[in-house]
Amino acid sequence: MGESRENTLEGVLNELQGSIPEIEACAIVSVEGLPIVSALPTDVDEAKVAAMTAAMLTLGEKAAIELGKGNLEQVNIKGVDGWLLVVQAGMNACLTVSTTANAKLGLIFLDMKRAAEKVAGMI
Amino acid sequence: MFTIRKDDKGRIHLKLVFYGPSLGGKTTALRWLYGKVEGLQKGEFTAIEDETNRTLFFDYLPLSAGGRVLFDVFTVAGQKRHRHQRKVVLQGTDGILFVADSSPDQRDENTESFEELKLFLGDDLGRQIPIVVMLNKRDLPNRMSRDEMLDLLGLGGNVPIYETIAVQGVGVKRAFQAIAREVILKRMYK
Repeated sequence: MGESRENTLEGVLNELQGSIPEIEACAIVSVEGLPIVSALPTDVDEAKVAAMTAAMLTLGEKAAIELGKGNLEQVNIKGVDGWLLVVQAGMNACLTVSTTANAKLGLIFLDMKRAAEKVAGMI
Repeated sequence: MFTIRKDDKGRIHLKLVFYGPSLGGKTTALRWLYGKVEGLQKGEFTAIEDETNRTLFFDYLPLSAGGRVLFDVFTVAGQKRHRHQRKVVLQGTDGILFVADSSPDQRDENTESFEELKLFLGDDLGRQIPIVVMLNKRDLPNRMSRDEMLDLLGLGGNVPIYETIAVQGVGVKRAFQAIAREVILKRMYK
């Protein structure tokens, strides 16, 4: 018996992306900034997503610590055309999601939290 | 000037160095990463030390966060007489974890060590060679305040600072992840 689809990292991303149409892309990136697995459109470079995630984590972590907000949990960026969301997925990885501008964030955060918990158990 | 080093398996090697005053917790932090941290693939821990476990030349530990990147992590010998060895260990470094000692009686040692580091690496420090600072021994009852230590080292807002207790591992992994990330951003995604 092979691993069921939802029990792989790819499966977690596919499930997340499949459940919410507003999610355009998602990736799991190590906290060091290295790509682990991704579900991205063909025109998006995985290394670029990992690098952007690393940069967001660096700045977010610094801001959270310097301003007395404790350890970083998530980073949210709003652009005219959508959101970039990064949440911690255990101590070793984070989950990055790109959405359209009209996405329902509450729903997305809920699914991201579930996905992140699964990822944390796998890495 | 900085080139990506690869081994015969095509893995990228990045060199990180724990720097700081003697008995500040450099080896303790590295041993904690070696012994207690999950999620990092570790090689053999190599230590060159004297009979009292003081580092004579360096400690060395290869760490991998998965994938094709390998971190060669070194500590330097902190005692003043090992200045030449420290300069040798610093050669080719991609990132620095400076471990400052929060004991008030180590004020001068912290300053001297940091000044020496700035002397050895010159303008590259903080620019081409990222640095993360660990304020270690935060469990000491008479520890210096965070602001006092940052003033002491002349650190502004641009350097990531982590308060750590190396013997318990508090903050060590986050500090390591931060320097690893800074180095990857600087060397691989530029």
